[in-house]
Amino acid sequence: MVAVVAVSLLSTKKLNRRFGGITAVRDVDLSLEQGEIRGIIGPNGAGKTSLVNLLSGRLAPDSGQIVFQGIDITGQPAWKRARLGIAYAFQITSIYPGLTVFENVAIGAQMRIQQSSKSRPLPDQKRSLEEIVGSCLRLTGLDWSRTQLAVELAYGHQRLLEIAINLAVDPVLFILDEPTQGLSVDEIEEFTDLLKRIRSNRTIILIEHNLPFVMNLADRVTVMDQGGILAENDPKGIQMDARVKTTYLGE
Amino acid sequence: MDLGPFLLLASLEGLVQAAVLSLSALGLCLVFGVLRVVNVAHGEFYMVGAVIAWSVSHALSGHPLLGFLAALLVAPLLVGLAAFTADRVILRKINHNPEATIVATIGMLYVIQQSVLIGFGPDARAMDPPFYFHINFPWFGYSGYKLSVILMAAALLLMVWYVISRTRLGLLMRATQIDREMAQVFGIPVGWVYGLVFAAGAMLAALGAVLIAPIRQVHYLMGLDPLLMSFIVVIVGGLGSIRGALLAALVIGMSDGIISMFFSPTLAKMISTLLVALVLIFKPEGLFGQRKS
Amino acid sequence: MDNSRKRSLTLHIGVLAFLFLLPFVLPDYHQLTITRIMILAIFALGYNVLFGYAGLLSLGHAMFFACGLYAAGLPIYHLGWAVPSAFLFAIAVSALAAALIGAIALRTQGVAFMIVTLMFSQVVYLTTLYFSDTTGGDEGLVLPGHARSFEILGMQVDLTSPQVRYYIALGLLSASALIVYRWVNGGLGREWVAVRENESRTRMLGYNTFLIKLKAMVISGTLSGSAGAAYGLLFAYIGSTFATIQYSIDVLLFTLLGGVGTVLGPILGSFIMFYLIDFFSEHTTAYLLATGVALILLIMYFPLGVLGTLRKKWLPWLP
Ligand SMILES: Nc1ncnc2c1ncn2[C@@H]1O[C@H](COP(=O)(O)OP(=O)(O)O)[C@@H](O)[C@H]1O
Ligand SMILES: [Mg+2]
Repeated sequence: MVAVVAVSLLSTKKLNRRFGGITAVRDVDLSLEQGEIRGIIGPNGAGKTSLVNLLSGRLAPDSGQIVFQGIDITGQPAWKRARLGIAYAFQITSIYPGLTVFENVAIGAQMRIQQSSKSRPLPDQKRSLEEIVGSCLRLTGLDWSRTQLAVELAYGHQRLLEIAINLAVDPVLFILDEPTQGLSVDEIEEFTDLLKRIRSNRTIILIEHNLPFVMNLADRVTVMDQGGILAENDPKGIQMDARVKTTYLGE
Repeated sequence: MDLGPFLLLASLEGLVQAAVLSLSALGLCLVFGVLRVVNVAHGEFYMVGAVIAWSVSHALSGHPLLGFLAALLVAPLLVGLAAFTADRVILRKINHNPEATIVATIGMLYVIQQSVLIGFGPDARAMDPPFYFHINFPWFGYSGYKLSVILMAAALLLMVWYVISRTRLGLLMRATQIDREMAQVFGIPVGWVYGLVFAAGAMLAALGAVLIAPIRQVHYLMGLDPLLMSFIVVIVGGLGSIRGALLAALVIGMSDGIISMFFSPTLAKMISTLLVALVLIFKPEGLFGQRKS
Repeated sequence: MDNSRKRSLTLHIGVLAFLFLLPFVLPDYHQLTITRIMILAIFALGYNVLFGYAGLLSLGHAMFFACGLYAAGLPIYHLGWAVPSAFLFAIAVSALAAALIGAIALRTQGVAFMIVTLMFSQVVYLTTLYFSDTTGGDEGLVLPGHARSFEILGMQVDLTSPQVRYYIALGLLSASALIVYRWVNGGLGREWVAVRENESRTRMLGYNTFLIKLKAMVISGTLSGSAGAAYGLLFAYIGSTFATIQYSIDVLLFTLLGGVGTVLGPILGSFIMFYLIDFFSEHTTAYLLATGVALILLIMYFPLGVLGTLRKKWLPWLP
């Protein structure tokens, strides 16, 4: 196996995935550093969701390799990858509509407690299920809704709830697929604050269409087009990149 | 009898069975294809078709052909009406949710079957064939009516094919099948299409039953076998694929007749049920259906 | 939270205590009926673990009931086993069968799962018919005299006594209900509900959802199997009617009626439905009509069942 550079949390090599005649992901080499926020942008159908589906294990690649924390996870099922610390907030909100907000987050917390051990001990102030759920709900500002059914929450709150569920498993790599889609301007602002609060020693992949939002938060930005990576740079560099301007920013 | 004539006889019997089976399986397949639900009461619509056929031909004195032709008209109409009503009243109320529909149609199975038990009684009754003549092969004579069943079924299948592929109703149906929401957006009355397709499925079963009634006895429990067989055909043919189902009906109808001449019927059923379950698990696209991407 | 847990535990124990006192006031006929119902309630309790909690609708649970029935009865009839060992053997066999069938059938979901379980159950039924030399087929087998009593912990237990049978059934029902109660209120119950409500979300949180469903299948099958074993042993009869689709539908009906995803629901449902059918079969040969009408009305108007509806409207603490 190839030796992995020490700081690289996740790297892919020549990742490919086709759907019938369409190549949704084409020869993608991606490398994430521990602790960074990586923005992924690109027009609709560029393959962003497909790419993160490959990372999280919801899709299997046709070819290529994925290494996470030095382990080759290419062939591992989604749930095993989640246990390694990869969490995923879906593009289309995925929560437990029939359960209370508390129970929603408790399902994540229970997994975290099961997983606590040797390499990932629980922090002192978060030993019990109640404590984990409580802290995640406070962090996302959903504490008031504990006993409500998730289905009764407003759309924006449902998106926050999905974040809270994922935070409860305390992920190492948190993938957010268009989290601001459908949110109001105020909500997006609050969401920016939330991301800043939860980023501590976490690596985050942020798929976004809202460019100001992603440029403000991301450490680096990857631009995708037609399944491949078009460019990768820090936000400033991307905004100046001539190719990106013509094909994506439309200038 | 020598093996040759024996096989010829078995094939003829198989063909008759396949003809009726393809009608009732096509009905189940249509409903599954468009509504995405499994109608467990399908066999009861078949049974009711046969019971109506018997009653009509019994009530009309005169030439049995008259009764048969009347039954060919009345049975599917009544059964279709009942099925349409059931769809509009019961299945629409549960939004055609696939699992709830199975439970509801199991309920319908009991209601229909037990009502017939009350009204028609527990006895098996024979119905006069519309005409008697024998075709004489060198080795055995064969009922001309049975041969005509094959022809009538083929004609009905052609009619169904015409409706599906050449008429406006068929177009609405196919549009609904491909994308329910889109069909709704384009103003197709999806609810009505559902009701009509559900009725059409039941009518096909009833037609098959009218054809078979003069050959088999009419009995309130006669719906269970065609239900299971149609199930098998639809699964093996690839859920919802019409071409697959017809092919499967032919193969299964033919082979069932032949197999049960060699094996104990219980063992044959045991093995075939197991095999079909395994097809559904390991090859859900069926053996004859096209693979979807 | 704590308060509601206390309340619900009190309710459950209250119900069991009520059943405990019932024989003192009941005539023999009802005692026998309730013994039967309690065994069927264990069956429904097991069924509900799979259907109500893990959200998997099986149409073939009679196969597990029959599995326990035959695994307990056949060694007694043919090999002269004693009752306790036959019972334990039946539980083990049911667990194994559930694991095996689950491992295969759980590759499907939704409608396909319903059909596959129905077909497997049909295969089991046909098997009991095909080997009728051993199983007695349709007519069944009456268990011999040595199976009408057994010794346990130095005590002689007489299975011909209605009272003894009643309390054995009640003991088994209580044990099953408390086990299920504990499981569904613990971590495993949360996992089942999570899979039921949103499987892909659950998987993406790190849960091995296949294993979670398999656990539900094994627990459910084992409870159903032990109900079958108890039925065969208490009433000294095993026969292939218990493997028919009818039994799979009945247990669905009990659960649907009493309350999907509640511990007491299946018990309540078994009582109501059993007496309803009993009532109808006195007046008509077409008593299955009641089953049909009940299924349709329930799925249309009360898909949550009696207790499920109660819980939703007034008693959110009911487990
Ligand atoms: N399950 C699927 N089946 C067929 N095609 C798909 C599927 N998922 C995605 N695609 C196709 O792959 C391409 C990339 O889609 P996606 O990854 O969703 O892009 P993005 O998230 O960047 O909008 C699109 O052309 C889309 O139609
Ligand atoms: Mg996307």
